[in-house]
Amino acid sequence: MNEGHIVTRFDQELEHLNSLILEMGQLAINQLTEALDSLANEDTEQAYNVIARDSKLNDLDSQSNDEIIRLIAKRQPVARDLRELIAIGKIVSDLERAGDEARKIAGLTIRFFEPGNKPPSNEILTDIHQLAEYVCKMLQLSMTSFSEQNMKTAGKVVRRGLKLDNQLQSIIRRLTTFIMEDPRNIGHFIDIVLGIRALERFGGHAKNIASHIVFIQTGEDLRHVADDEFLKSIGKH
Amino acid sequence: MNQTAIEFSKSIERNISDDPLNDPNYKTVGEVTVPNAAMTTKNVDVHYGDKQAIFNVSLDVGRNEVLSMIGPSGCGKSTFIRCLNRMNDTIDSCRIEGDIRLDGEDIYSRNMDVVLLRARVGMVFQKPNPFPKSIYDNVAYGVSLHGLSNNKSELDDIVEDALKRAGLWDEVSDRLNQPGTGLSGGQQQRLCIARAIAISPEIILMDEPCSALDPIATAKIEELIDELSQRYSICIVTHSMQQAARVSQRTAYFHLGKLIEVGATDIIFTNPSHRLTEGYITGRFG
Repeated sequence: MNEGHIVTRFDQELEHLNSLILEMGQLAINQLTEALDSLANEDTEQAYNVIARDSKLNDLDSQSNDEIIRLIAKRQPVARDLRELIAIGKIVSDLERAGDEARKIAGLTIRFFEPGNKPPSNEILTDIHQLAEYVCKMLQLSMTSFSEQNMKTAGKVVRRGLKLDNQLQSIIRRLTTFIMEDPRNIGHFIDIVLGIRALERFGGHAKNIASHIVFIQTGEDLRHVADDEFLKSIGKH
Repeated sequence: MNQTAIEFSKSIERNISDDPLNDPNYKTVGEVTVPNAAMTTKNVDVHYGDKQAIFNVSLDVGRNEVLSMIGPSGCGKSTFIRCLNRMNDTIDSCRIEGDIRLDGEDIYSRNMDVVLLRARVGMVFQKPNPFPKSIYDNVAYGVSLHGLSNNKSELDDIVEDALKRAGLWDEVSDRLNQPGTGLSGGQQQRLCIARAIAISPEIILMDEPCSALDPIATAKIEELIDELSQRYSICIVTHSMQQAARVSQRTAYFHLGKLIEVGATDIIFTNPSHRLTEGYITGRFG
């Protein structure tokens, strides 16, 4: 429903809230990209910057929550407007947590490349980079789906999520082989597994956002359904 | 963008079955019937002279339920509710077709006693309209008229009971002989409700009962509606969507004389099916 409200101020307030969400989404994506750059360039200063910038996401989280509470109290939204505000509240949480996961990747840079620490071989970092690029694209698609309120794009996020599961399994298999070959570097492997786990969560938040878009559009809560059922439900609309 | 209902209807994309304006056979979205209904209406058309105000509306009133009717001005919700106790009979040009039954009995049949019908289907209006009589007499009048009490003490009991159920007794018990018109707006409206329930109706129709009241008086009426629904069926026409959401279990949305959608209030206000309902309740036209 693209028609504006009779009270145009309400539309402006919703637009303002949406712009906060898009800003948060872009920031979460940038945070992950920069965390990866720091890892690739072995740049601990950049990693510290990523960690420091996480507070900006937290601020936007608080600001958006305040805005949602104010709008509910002031405009008493119903139907799609109500669903939109509730869903945006959840999207905000997902983006804030996605930022936390990006911060964990920056933490890896510091652990691996802080002077005095023993860096891991490039070989075992490859998976992190590939996976990060993949989940970054998932969040980008989620934010496009949000800005366009497009359920088809939300479906693309879920499809990528399906492939993500396969990728994770193959990465874990490969890492297991590395560990068996060279058990002395088990500490690095544990850090890498935690990094992969963070990226998997990052992708999970992107998928959650996709389900919130569907909730806004249809009122269906697809957060807890299997991916194929999710895609089937989208297909119905 | 301030739009009229017609402009809004034209602006939305839809197919013919979703188009209440152009589809003469438009079928209401949602379940219009309820099991064991207190009142049933089927295929009701209402004309004022040449102008048709209600188009083929079917809608049941369930027992002990609060049914709210919402819609933009001129959508026919007041016209429809006034058909339910034949209030439209007083308008010469008004012609009503269709089937309206109270407990299975055709209320437009020749045998129907209209005075008795209006006792069984009471009405509370937008503006409190107490009789220019004492508080006591306002409530006692209908009871005496319908011969519902045998003596003064029985009448006293009925008046007290009605005022208590209307939540007014504590405020007026020491001044029952004072004029009803001397009460505040909210108290007057509750007096009118006491007057309606004193004659033990089955259904109470309320046409914008709170539109002339302040928020506190409105809250008291809404609390009262909730309590009264334990014993009576209540149909309420309201311009306040929040009020419909607060007080009713079912909501019917009218638009340009057609019943667009009816359903559980919880669903209508969180996920309505028809885009016109959504457009209206979210304040996109009105």
